[in-house]
Parts: sequence; structure tokens; C-alpha cells
Amino acid sequence: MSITRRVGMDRQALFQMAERNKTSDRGGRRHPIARWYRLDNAAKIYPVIMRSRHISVFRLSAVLHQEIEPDRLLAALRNTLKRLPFFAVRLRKGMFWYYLESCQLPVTVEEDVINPMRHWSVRDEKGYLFRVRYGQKRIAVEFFHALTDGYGGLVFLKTLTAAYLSLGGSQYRPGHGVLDLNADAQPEEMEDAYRRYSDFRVTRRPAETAAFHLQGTILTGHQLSMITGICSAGQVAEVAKRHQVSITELLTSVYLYQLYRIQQRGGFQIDRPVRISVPINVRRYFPTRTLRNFALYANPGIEPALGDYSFEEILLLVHYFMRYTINQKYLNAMMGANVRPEKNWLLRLAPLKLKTLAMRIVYALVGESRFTGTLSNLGAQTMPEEISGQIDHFEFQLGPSRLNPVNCAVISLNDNLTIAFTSTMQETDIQRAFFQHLVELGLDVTVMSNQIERK
Amino acid sequence: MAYCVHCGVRLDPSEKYCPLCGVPVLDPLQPYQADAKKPYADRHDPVIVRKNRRLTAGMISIILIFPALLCLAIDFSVSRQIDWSLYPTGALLVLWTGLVPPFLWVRPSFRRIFLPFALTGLAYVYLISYLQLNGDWFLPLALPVYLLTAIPTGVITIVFQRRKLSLFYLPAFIMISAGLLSLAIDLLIRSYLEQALRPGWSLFVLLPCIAVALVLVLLARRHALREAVARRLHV
Repeated sequence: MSITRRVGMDRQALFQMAERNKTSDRGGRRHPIARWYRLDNAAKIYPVIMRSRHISVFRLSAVLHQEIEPDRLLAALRNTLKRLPFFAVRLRKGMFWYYLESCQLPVTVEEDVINPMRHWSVRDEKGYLFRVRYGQKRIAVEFFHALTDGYGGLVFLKTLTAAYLSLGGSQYRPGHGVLDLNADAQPEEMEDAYRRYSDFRVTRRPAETAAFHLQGTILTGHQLSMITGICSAGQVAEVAKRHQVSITELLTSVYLYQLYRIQQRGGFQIDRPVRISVPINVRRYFPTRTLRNFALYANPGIEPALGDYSFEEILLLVHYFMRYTINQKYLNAMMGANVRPEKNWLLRLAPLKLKTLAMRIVYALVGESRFTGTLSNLGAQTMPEEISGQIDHFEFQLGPSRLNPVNCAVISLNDNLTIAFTSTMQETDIQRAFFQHLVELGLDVTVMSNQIERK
Repeated sequence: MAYCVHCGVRLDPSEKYCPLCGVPVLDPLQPYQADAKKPYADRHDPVIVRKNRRLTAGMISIILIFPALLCLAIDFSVSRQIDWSLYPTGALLVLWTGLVPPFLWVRPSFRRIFLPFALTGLAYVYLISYLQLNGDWFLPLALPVYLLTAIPTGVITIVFQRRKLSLFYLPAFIMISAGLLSLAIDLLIRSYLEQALRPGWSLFVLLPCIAVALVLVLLARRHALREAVARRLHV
């Protein structure tokens, strides 16, 4: 109300002006949305650090109760892309930066495979930055991280799944992250929110030393070991409540504690800190409608050089570390540290080759070498009531990374909490220790895997 | 659904063994059923690394042919005959046979790549001795040295390709071959110069080579170190 009073016009006139601005800011083109996009702040690093065994890809799947029909899925995908045109892009190389360019290639859906998220040369293939696959009852979408983060990917998957179900005759009301297919794409959905919210008052990047890394026998032939456990979200929440922590904090502590035990047993790097990288969806603290990357990372960890740790100690440490890190002020300082180099004219004018080199060096110093594993929790998800019952569970998996062979991702829907480990390593010690710990905490875990052949 | 007797987790009906610990399903009331539906697909996605090989071969050819033509043209325009330009042209031709065939063959093999390269190289050495007026060194010196170098190189390539030796013994093998080769070349030169047949400078090459080879063999026998190297250098 205060805004309307200040500019001296009524509400309706204000919205009309906003509408006019929306269509005129691109020189009156027919499409209200630009034909190419800058990479957002976080996305800039992903094309640069990509290697054959380190591609920043994640995979989200919805497992339904019915068999998937590929034709219907393809039709649903076309409808979804009409609503989300900025997902129909490919990665191009400019003189100074990578960028995303709208792309009219035909879309396809592929049969699911045993080794998803494999080496995927998005730089060379010049195709879309996502892949839609279907299994028996599974709709799976793999996203290259330069395109979107877990939240944006989930909106895409939910909209796609709802579109698929609606083609089968199910009616639903949009909401719960499911977009209205009949609405137009909104330019705000593709903004770089990092730039909007960094105020550079203080910039801060936590000083971290190199962390402990799991080591083992690498699987041959670009295989990926997937081990997934499903348990009741209610039960997990109960256990977390008993320990007075959140679900993410509980699972992070279990992961941290078991990694620590493996480290102490292994007899190498026993004094290196054990740290877990926990992505935080910061949309909660900085309101935006963006579907591009908008996440930051908290790396809770312990330093075994200081002495022995018990599980309860680790729980406390993780809990308070999260409280200390995850608040608007601290997050803004971290965000500023990431965005500031991007504003520097000297850096901006450096050619892409030079930037690539510099970014690789920076990533080697502050990136994956600083943590032992990733635990990404997308949290408790909901779907519109009308179609919620037709979906059994969601699954969230992280792609292979170079230094840390094992990664963990968590998501829940309808009381099914899915904990998915993806690994490029034959040994399953950490997965076993993790799930055994959950069993000891009193949880009933059902485990399944893609049953790759281990030598 | 059966439980894993070792881990305590419940197992999906499609699991014959516990994916965490490898213990088989041991539930008499709910034995493993082979026809249970698997949660993930079976199809393996082949990893294809596509390269535009013809384009690379073409680019290399242009880069090599251009200076050769330039040399021939300059030589001819200055002296109305072709003499010195045959040296760079021949060298570029040898380089071409070494660089381009790997890109042209769909299935490059030892015979298809190494032999043409070695033969053109030999022809080039002969060309040099022919162009020089006092070229009587080809048969007694150049040919044996050339063959002595080519044969171990070929053997090492075959050993490498057929995986006869593990990657850890291969460097040791290469070091020993290099030491012995230098010894043979030393003796050959001495016989050409009609000196006494005893090893001279080659001992300074041979002995360090043997020492390095022994160290490599010792390292290769250490399992933990081999694993560490394999882990960090795997491709």
C-alpha cells in the first residue's frame, strides 16, 4: 500500500505499468523472455570443473503406482517446456563466459539405464541440459547443475509428473510446487537472485583446510553404484525430535560420525577434518521466485586431531553449527564473497580460457577438497491432494564427483523418506555403516540397489 | 520382505544379496524370488566419446603440407632446381606419417601406425645419405642404429597394447631397454670407427637405468603404493 501511495497511482494502474514494462524491456519482441541467459553466479563454476568423472549432475525421480507410457510422458514434457521455456536451453561458449541459449531441438524421453548421470559432455553435445528417462514406474529427470538447483529441478519434475497424470485424466489444482500449465512463463522465474540479494556490506568465506576423503576401488566402465534406503519420514522425525535436532541435522550427524569411524579405522589421513557439505536452499531467507540456482553451502565438520568424538557430541556440534551459519546475515556475507569477483571489471574482461584456469585453481582450493561428502536434503515434499496418492515416492540422487566417491541425497514424500547413496566406488562400507546406524536408532529401513556387479 | 541377517535392514524383494554387506538372503519363509521386479533399469548406457577425427587429420595435413610447399617453391625459384628443400619436405612427410594415420584408421593397430612411420623414417635417413656426397655411412651405421631403436620401440608398443606387463613393470622394462640400447649403439659406433670393442659412455646411461628400473620394480611390488598410484592416475 505504501508504494502505491508514494507513486500516486492506484493499485490497478501500477500492475498495468508493471505488465507494460515486462513486455517492453526486450525491445518489443514477441517472446517476453530473452533468447539467451547469463549463467547465474553458482552455475558459472559447473561447466568449468566438469571432467569425465566429475560432472555436476543430479537426478530426481518420481516413482508412481502405474507403469509409465513413454508417448504420454513425451506429450507431458512438451507441455511442461511450454510453461518453462528457460529449461529448453543449451550451453554455449562466449568469449568471456559460458551462457545459455534457447534451443529448438526436438525433445526426447529415453529408457532408464543402470548407469545414469554418466559422463555427459554437455559442452560438446550441444543439446539440452536435462534428460528425461522412464523406467517401469519411474519418471526420472537428470539436470546439469548449471541449469538449475534441486529446488528448480523439483519444480520441473513435479510439473512434469502432474502434466503426465493430467493427460491420464487426473484433475488437480496447481500448487505445492506444481506450476499451472496454462499460465505464461514469468521472467522472475529465471532471475539471478544471488546478484539481487548480495549487498557486499561484509563478505565472508569460511577458512577451511583440506578434508579427509574416502578412498577405494573405482568401478570400471563408468558404472555408478546406487543404494537407496526408504524409511518412514514420521519415524525419522520422531527420532530427530528425541535428539532435539532437525532431520537434516540428524542424518548429517550420522553420516559424519560413520565417516569419522571409517577414517579412524582406515589408518590414513586420520588427522584430517571430516566435513559434510550441506546445500541450503536460501529461498526461505531471500524471497524470490527464481528456478535457477539459489543455494549456498554449510560445511559442518569435526577435527579428529583434537580428540575423540561421540555421536552425541557430533549431534550438538552439527546442530549449533547450523544455527550459527544458516541465518540471513551470515548467508548474505557468504553470498557476497561468491558474487564479488563476478563484479570485478578486470576479471570480467579476462578471456574464458584464462578464467577457466583461474576458476579451476580456486575450486581446487575452496571446492570439493574441503569436504568429505555431500548430504543434500530437499526436505518433505507435497503434491496436490488429488494426485498425491498416485505417486509412491520421490528419489533424489547426486552425480559422481572426483575427490569424494560417495554422495548422499535425501527427499521425502507421503511419509516415504528416501536416502539415496550414489558411489563410483566398489566398497560399500559407508553405506552399510550409515544404514546400520539408522537401524540402531530404531528405524525400519528398506534397502534396494541397482545391483551392479562388484568384482 | 526379508531382513539382512547381518545389517538388520529390510531388503527389497529383488535383492538376492544384501547390497550393503553381500550376505545372501537367508529367510526360509520369504526366500529370494528371481522374478521380482527390480527398482532400477538393467540397460547399460554406453559411454561414447565422439571426436571429429577427419577434421583433425585434415588440419594436421594442412599445417604440415603448407611449409613443405613453401620450401619447395623458394628453393626452385632461387636456384631453378630442387636440392636443400628435400630435407624439410622429407622431415615433414615423416611427421605426417607419424601423426595422421591414427586419425584416419577407424581401428588403429600397431601395423597400421608404427610400420609406415618406421619405414618412412628409414627412407628419410637414406635420402639424407643419398643427398650427401660422402654418404657411405648409411649401411654400416645408420641402418643398424635405426633398426636397433625401432625394434625395442615396437616391442614396447606391443607389450603395452597387449597388456603383457602391468603398467607398473612397464616403466622398468622401458628403462632396461633404453640402457641396453645405448650400450648397443655405443658398441656400433666404436666398431664403425674401428676402435676397441668395449663399452664407454653407455655405461653412464646403462647403470642409472638399471638402478631406476630396480627401484621401479621394488615399488611395483608394494601393493599399497600400487593401489595409491592406480587410484590417482586411473583413466
